[in-house]
Amino acid sequence: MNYELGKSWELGLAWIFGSGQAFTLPTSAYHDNISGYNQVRYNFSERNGVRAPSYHRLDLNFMHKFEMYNIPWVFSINIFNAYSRRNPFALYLGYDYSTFGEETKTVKQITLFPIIPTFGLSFEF
Amino acid sequence: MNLINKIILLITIIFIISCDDMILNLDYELPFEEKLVIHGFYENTEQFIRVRISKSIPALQEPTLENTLVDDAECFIKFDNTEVKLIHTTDSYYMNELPIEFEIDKEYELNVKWKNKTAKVINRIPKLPEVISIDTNTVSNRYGTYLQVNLNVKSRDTGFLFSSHLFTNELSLNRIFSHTLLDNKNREYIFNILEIDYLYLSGDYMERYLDYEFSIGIASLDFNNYYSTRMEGYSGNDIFGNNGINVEGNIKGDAIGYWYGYQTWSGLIRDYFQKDK
Repeated sequence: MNYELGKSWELGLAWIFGSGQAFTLPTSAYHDNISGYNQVRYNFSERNGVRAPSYHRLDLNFMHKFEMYNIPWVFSINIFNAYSRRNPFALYLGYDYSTFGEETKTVKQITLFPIIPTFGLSFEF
Repeated sequence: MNLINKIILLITIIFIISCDDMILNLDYELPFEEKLVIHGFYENTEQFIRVRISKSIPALQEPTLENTLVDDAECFIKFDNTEVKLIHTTDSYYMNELPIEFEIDKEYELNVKWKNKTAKVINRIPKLPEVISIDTNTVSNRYGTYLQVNLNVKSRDTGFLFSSHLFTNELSLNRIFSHTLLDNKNREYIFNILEIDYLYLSGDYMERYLDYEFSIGIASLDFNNYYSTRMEGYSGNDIFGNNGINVEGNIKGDAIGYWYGYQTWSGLIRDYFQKDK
């Protein structure tokens, strides 16, 4: 969507939504100790059997048009992922360690891009 | 505050937010399906066998002996028109109440019931192949030149043939698990049982190995499914920590795991060695 904010300012807005990506993750844990060692094994979901949280972000774009040296200029501020949504890039089973060395299993999420501002200046001749 | 200051303030805030950690703990419930976990073997020389019957737990919990314990399952081995009950002894291990003479090439059925879950597996001990002869050949690789002692066998059954073969060189004497798949009946196979480094050999080298007792074993052919995936089922602490491959087995129903029959046999090299070949 684009809005004109006065004669020289313009606001652009885009909201992107996608259902969560599919991953293969462990769905249960068990002991394999037939060999005498208590080894923890995982039983995984079907291939791509686990759905990650949904993906969404808001991109904003402010444009200011002005004239300098008799040529038209455009100054722009772009904000990618304006509300810094932590969109999942990958999920995995990870561990957290306390100061006493105790480990806790959690589902960890890697996010690639938080809020990213960019600036631009362009002119036509 | 003029416009420039406002823009600088906005940029500073945004930059600070951008420095946030990009790996976070997700409050996320993984799907979970409780399953029986069955592990066991049997062989023709043992009349009493142990089968471990436990259960799986949610992936985010750490399995222990206590939280995976199943001590009230109904477990039977069926063969011919006989049914032998297995009773819980300790730590999720079950043993047969009455002795069973496990016969080669006879089907045995393991049945497990627990709560609303059932599991079943039918397995048999395959027939050993016929040993035709033993001969030698020389192989070279980047580690050296070795004398290989080979067992020439003719399969009488399909199966997973295995041996703990001896590997010797100047410095060490190692036993290495090796296997081959007998996937056809009445076919000849070559199976390596002994490897000797040439640096270690002197004089009539085979003379000292003629009284070497080798042993081979055979399990059903589908044991290879378990054997080739036995190192899977891991999940490491990083993005590439799992490849999503499960350990395979032969149990059917609401269960994971395996129950295989096998037999072993030993012989002397002297009895089968063909020197001139």
